[in-house]
Amino acid sequence: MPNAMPETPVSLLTRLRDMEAGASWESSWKVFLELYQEPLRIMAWNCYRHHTGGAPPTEEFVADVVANVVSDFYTRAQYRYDPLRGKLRRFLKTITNARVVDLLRKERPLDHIELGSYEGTAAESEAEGLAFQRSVLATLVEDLRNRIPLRQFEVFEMVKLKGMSAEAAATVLGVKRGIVDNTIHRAMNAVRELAKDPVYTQEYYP
Amino acid sequence: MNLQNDPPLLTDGDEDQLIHKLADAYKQTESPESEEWVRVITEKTNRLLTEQAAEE
Repeated sequence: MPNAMPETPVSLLTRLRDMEAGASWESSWKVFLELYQEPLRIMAWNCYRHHTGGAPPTEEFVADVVANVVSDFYTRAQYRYDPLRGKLRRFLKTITNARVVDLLRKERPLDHIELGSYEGTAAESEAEGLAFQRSVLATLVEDLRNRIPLRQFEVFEMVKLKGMSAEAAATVLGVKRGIVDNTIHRAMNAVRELAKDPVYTQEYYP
Repeated sequence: MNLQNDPPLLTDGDEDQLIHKLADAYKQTESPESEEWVRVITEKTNRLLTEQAAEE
């Protein structure tokens, strides 16, 4: 017997964290990369500096690390994320640190022999924490895009995300100002609901 | 994890602040610099995935 009630939509963050749920595998990793490349790049930068005594990595090195992290996160069973064991940000930091060490060993085999293993990992920097918070919020925006009617999101995007006045949006869309206000009101209700989702709270705070 | 210690993202009175943060996050992902990084890393990730598929 089919469900009489519609299922509660699973948040995008939940789907991105679980490669077996929700969207197709390929679209998942691409969305994940778009939303999380900034904190992953900063993590890679910090881990590299931690292991090299403060030397900065090249952009090529950072891009290689992030590509490896995304690839591992979505393809290797040993890197399957389990939310019960900790936060996503810490899990991603662990994988990122491991990939930095792998690539450093390839790049600097003599250092590895002389100095031994690359131990520990860099503490979370303020920039890294802020970037991760931005990614969580960007994920919430993507979730909103998937939950409300497209037209409603477009109005929200114009006014609330891009900073256009409601009056100007009404003119651009060729509708009355009241329609824009009502549409924003409905979109804000959806934002409030999403913001209550513990999955965002859990990942937003360190 | 003790979620009870984490305040919700949106509490009474700071709705404008949340919208400001959402707009900041949205603009960051849409920035030309971010889009260029995504393009470069997507190419590298595709290459890695192709290599992995060939090995299996």
